[in-house]
Amino acid sequence: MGIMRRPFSAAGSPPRREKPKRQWGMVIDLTRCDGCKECTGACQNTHYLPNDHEWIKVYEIEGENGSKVFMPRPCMQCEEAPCLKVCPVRATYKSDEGIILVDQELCIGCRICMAACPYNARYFNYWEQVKPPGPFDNPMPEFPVPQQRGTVGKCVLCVHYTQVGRLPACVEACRMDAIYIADLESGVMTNRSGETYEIHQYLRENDAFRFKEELNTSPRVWYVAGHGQSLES
Amino acid sequence: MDRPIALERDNLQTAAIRPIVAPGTLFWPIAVVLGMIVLAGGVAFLQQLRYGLGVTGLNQNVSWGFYITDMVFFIGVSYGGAVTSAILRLTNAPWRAPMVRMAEAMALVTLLIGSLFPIIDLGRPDRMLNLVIHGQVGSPVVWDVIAINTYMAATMIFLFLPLIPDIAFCRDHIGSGAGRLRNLLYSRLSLGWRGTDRERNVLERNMTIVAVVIIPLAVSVHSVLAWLFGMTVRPGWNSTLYAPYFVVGALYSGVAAVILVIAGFRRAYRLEEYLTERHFKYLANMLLALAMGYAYLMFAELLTEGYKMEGFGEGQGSGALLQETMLGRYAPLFWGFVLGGLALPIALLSLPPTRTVGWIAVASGLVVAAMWLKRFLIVVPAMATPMMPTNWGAYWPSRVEIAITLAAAAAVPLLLMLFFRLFPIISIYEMEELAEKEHDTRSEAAPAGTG
Amino acid sequence: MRIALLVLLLIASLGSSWVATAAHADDPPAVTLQALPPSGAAEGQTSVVLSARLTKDDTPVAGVPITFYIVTTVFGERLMKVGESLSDATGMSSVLYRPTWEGGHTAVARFAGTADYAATQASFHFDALEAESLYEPARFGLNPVRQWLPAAVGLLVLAVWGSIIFALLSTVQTIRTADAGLATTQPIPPWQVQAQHPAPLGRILVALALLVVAAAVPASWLVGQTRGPDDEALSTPNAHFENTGADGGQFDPSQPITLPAPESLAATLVSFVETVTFDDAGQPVPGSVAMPADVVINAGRIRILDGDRGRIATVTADGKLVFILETSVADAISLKGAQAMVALGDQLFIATPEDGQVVIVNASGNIENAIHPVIPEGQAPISPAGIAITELGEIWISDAANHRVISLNERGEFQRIIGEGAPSTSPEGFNTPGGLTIDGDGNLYVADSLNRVVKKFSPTGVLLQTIGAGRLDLPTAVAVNEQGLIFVSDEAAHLVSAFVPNGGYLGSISDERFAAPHSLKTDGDLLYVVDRLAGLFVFRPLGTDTSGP
Repeated sequence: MGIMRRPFSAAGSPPRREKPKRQWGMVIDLTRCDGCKECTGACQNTHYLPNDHEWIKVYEIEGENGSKVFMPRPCMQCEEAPCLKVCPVRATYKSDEGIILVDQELCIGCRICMAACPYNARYFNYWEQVKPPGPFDNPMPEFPVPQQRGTVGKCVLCVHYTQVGRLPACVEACRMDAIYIADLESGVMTNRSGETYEIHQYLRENDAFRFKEELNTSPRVWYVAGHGQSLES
Repeated sequence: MDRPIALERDNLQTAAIRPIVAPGTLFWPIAVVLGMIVLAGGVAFLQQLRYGLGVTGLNQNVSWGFYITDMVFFIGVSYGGAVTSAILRLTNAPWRAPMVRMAEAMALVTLLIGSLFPIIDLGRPDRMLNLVIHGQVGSPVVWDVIAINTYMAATMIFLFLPLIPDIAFCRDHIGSGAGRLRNLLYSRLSLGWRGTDRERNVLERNMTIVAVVIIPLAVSVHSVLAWLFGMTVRPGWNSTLYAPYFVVGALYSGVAAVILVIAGFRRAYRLEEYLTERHFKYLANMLLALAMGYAYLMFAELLTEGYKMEGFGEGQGSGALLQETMLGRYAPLFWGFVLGGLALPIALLSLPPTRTVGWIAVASGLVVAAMWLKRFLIVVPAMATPMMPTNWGAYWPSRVEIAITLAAAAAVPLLLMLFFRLFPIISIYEMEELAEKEHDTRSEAAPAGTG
Repeated sequence: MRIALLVLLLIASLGSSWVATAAHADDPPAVTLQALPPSGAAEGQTSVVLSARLTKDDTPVAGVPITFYIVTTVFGERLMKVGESLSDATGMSSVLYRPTWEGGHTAVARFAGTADYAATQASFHFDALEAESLYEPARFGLNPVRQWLPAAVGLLVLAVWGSIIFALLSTVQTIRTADAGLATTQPIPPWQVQAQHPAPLGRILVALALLVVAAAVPASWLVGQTRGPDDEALSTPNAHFENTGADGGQFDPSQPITLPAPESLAATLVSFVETVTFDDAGQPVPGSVAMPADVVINAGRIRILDGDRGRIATVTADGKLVFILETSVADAISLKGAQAMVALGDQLFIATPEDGQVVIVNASGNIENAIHPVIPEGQAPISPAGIAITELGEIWISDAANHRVISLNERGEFQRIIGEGAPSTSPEGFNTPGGLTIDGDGNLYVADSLNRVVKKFSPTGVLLQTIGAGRLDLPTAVAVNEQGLIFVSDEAAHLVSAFVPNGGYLGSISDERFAAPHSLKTDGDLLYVVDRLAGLFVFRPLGTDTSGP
C-alpha cells in the first residue's frame, strides 16, 4: 500500500513523503442520507471490525412532526482534538494530513480519550479480535487491521485509501452518494458517483455546518442540511 | 524461645507494642478471612489479564466503571492521614498524638491500594512504562501519575520519619518477643537512632517541612483526579467546581475512615486509655464540618445545573443527567447517598445522645460506604448520558469487578493489621514529644512556685 | 421529357433531404463551443476567468447554461464543477475561479445540450502562477500561557520532590553522624511485657495452605466469568466476512496456469474504436475515458456500455463515441457499475449491481423500465457479471459473487438457478461465473472464470459440455456465432480463443493492443471484442468452416 509505518522515535509525525500536501476532510449531505447503514457495514468489512465498533455510525434524529433525519458520524478529525490532548502516551496523534491516528503499539488502554471525545467516535477493543483472512499481519496506524486487544480504535477517514487516490469505504458504499471525501488543501470534494465540487464554495452555498461547533474542536466533517438548494443567483 | 515474664504495669509503651507481641487469638482467623478475599481478587485480576477487559461490564458507552470509582475512592480515603497528621500538626492540636500513627499508616495503605486501580483499569497494563517514556505533559493521566507518585513518596517519608525513634525503641526493648526477622528489621530500619537532642531537632524540623509540603500535595492529587473528569466536555463532568468538590469529598471520606480505623483497633487492642471519647468527639466535629462543607458544594453544583437544565429538551446534557440522577434510574442511589451519607451522619454526629464512640463509628461507616456510592454516581451516570442522539448507556458490574473491589476493601484492614504486627500502633515518639512540650509549658506557666 | 426529369430530380432531392433529415432526426443541430483561455495572469492575481463561447454556424447561442469544470486527480480523474453561467448575447459565458494549486490546470466547459442544440464540450489548459490554498488551520487561543504553564508546574513539582528528599536524607544523615552517648531523653522506665509464643513456621505454612484451599471456592466462581454481563453488546465477530476459499482445497484458482502456445487464428481487423478521445494536442479529452464493459449491436448501431460512469455510447460512422444515455447514481435508475448488456429487438437490457436490477433502454437512449429481481427468502443479493436473453424473454444473469447463474422472468421472479452458491469445481457448480450467451438452439454458454472453462447447458439447465479446459486462463466472456463457433475472451492471456462446436480448439486471435479483452458479441461474420483498457475491436475471423483439428 506504500504507507510508511510511524517511526518509533515518537517524534510526533511520520516522515514527509514526496507527495502533494493534502488535508483530508469530509462533507455529508444529510438531505440524501436514508439511514441504510451501508457505510457502517462497508467500514466494518474493510477493517474487519466487530459489530459494536461503528467507526461511522448513523444516528436517527427525530425532528418536529415526526420527521426523521439520519446523520452519519465518522470521526470528526478535529483540528483541536480533545482525544489528542488527553492521551497520556501520545498514542493518538495527528498525521501530516490532518488525520487523527491511533498507534496501537503505544496505546495503554486507559480510555480517557473515549471519555473526552464529544462525539463518541472512539471504540475500545475489550476482546481479542477475530483474525481476518489474508495477509493482515502488519497493522499500522493508517490501516489498523487487526485491532489490538486493550487498545482504542476509530475511523481513520480511510487514509490508507485516499493516499493512493481511492475513495474511503463509506464513500464507495453510500448508495445515495451522500458522503463526499474532500481535500481541503486543493479544495476538491467528490463522492462515489463523481460529483465533484470545490469545497469552500460548496460549503458556503449550502450553508454547511459542523456538529457541536461551540466546543471549539474545529471538526473537519461538514454537514449539509435543509433542502440543499444552491443559493447561487 | 519464650520468657515467662510478669507484666509490671501497663503503660504507653506497652500498649503501643502490644499488637506486635500479643495480637490476640482473633488475629489469625481475621487475617485468613481477609486474605481469602484478597486472594479471590487476585484470581479475578488474573482472569482479566487473560481475557482482557471484556470480562468487566464495561462497554462502548460506559467505558469507566468500578475500577475508576475505586481509584478515586481509595485515594480519597487516604486523605484522612493528611488531615490528622499534617494539618493537626501544623495547627498544634495536641490531641492528635495517639492517632497519628494509625492515621498515617491508613493513608499509606489506602494510597497504595488506590494507586493500583489505574493499572488494573488499563487495557494494556504491560505498557505501563509508556507513561514514563512517552508521557505527554498535557494529559490529565500524566498529571495523575506525577501527583500520586509525589504524594506517595511524601506520605512514605511522613510516616517513616517519626517511625524511626519508635523502631529504635522496638530494637532496644522488645528483644526476643519479636523473633529474629523482626529484630533484624528493627536494627536496620532504625538507622542507629540514639535520641540525641540534635537528632530530635532535625527530625522535628524535617517533619514540619514534609507536613507543609504534603498538604498542597494532597490537594493537588485529588484536584488532578477531578480533572480527569473535569477536562472533558461530558455533562456532569464539565464543571469548574470539580477540583475543590473532590478535595472536600476526599477529606470527608478520609476523616470518616480514620475514625473507623481508630475505633476498630482501639477495640481490638484495648487502647481505650489513650484513644478516649474526647478524641472521637473532636474527630466527629471535624467530620461534621466536612459533611456540611460537602453538602454545600454538592448543593452549589446541583443548583447551578438544575437552574438551567441544559440539553434536557434533547435528552442530552447536564439537564438530562440531573433528571435521571435525581428522579430517574439513578434516583435510589442518589437519595440513598443523600440520606445515608449526609443527612443521617450529620444527625448522628450533631445530636448529643449519639455523640458516643459507637454511634460516631456507625456514622463514619455510613459515610465511607456512601462516599463510595457517590464516586460511582460521579463516574457512571455521566458516561451513560448520551452525548449524541442515541439511547442511554447501561452498566452492570461483573463478578471480576466486584471481586477486585471487595479485595481492595479487605486489603486495607489486612495490611494495617500486618503493619501493626511490625511497628508500634501508637507513636511513642510523638506522645513523648507532646508530653515534654506540655511539661515545659506548665513549668513556664508557673514560675513563681519554683522560684 | 425534361419536365419529367425535373420532377424526378425534385422528388429525388426532396426525398433525399427527407431521408437526410430523417437520418438526423434524432441528432440536434451541432453547435461549437469555443473555449477562451484566460488572459495572461498578472502579478499577484489569484483568480482566473474561465470563459467559453457557444455558437451555431457562427451565430451566437444565448441564454443557455454552460458548466465549467477543472480536471482534478486527487481521487482519480474527476471533473470538479467550479461554476455555471448562462451564455450572454454574444454566446459567451464565464466564471471566476481561484486556483488552489500552482502549475498546469485543465479546464473543461460543457454544454449539456437542449432539444434544439446538441451537447458539446471544449477544454483548454492554463497555468496558475499564484495559487493559494483556501485551507487555514484552526486556532485554539491562549497560546503563550499554554506554552509556559507546563514549565512552571514542572518546576513546582521538582521543588516538592527536592524538599521531601531533603527532609529524608538530612534526617538519615543526622542520625548516622550523631555523637554517641549524648542522649538527653527521659530515662525509660523499666517495664516488662508478657511475651507470647511466636507462631512457629509450621503453623504459618499450614494456615497459608488452608487459605489457598479455601480460596478455591470464590476462585471457581470467578473463573466461570469469562464474558461481561451484556454479551450481545460486546464484540462478536462480524459475520459479513467469511473466509470462503476454493472448495475442499481441490483447485486453487489463484495458482497460475501455463497454457500451451496458442495457435493463431487468422482474423482481419475490420475496425478499432478507441474509447478515449484525444484532443488536438494529443491529450486525452477529460471525461472521455470510457472503460467499456460490454457492446451490443442492435438497430444497426454499435452500443457500448461504460459501466464505470453509468452511460451508454453509440459509435458514430467516423469511430467517435457519442453518449446517448448518461446516468448518475443520484438518478432513480442508474447504470453505475453495470458490467453486462444485451439486446433483444430494439431494446437494450443492462444488468446493474443496484439490487441486481435489469434496466431496459430503448434505441434512443431513454430508460423505459427496470426489472427488479424478487429475491427469495434467505437468498443473497445478485452481483451480475453477465446477461443473456432467450427469445421468449427469459433473462439469464450470471451472479458472480454467489457463484451461480440465475434466470428471471419479466417480472423479476426467479425461474431457475444453476450453481451451488459457493465456489465449486463440480459439473453444476461455478467459481465466479462471468459473461454468458445463448446460441441459436437456446443452449446457454457460461464463462466459468475461476474454473478456467466454458460450460454449455441445455435449455433445461443440464450440463452438456465443458469447453476449453487446459486452453483458458481467465475466461471472462463467451460468444457463439451462426456457425456455432465458440469465441472466448481470455483476459489473463490477452487472447480471444475460438473452439469448434464439439469443443475442439481452433485457434486464438491476438492483437498487440489487447490489454484486457472482456466482452464479446458476434454479428453476422463479425466478432466484436470489448477490451476494457484499449477499446472496441471488430474482427472478421477467417477459417469459419467447422472442420476443426
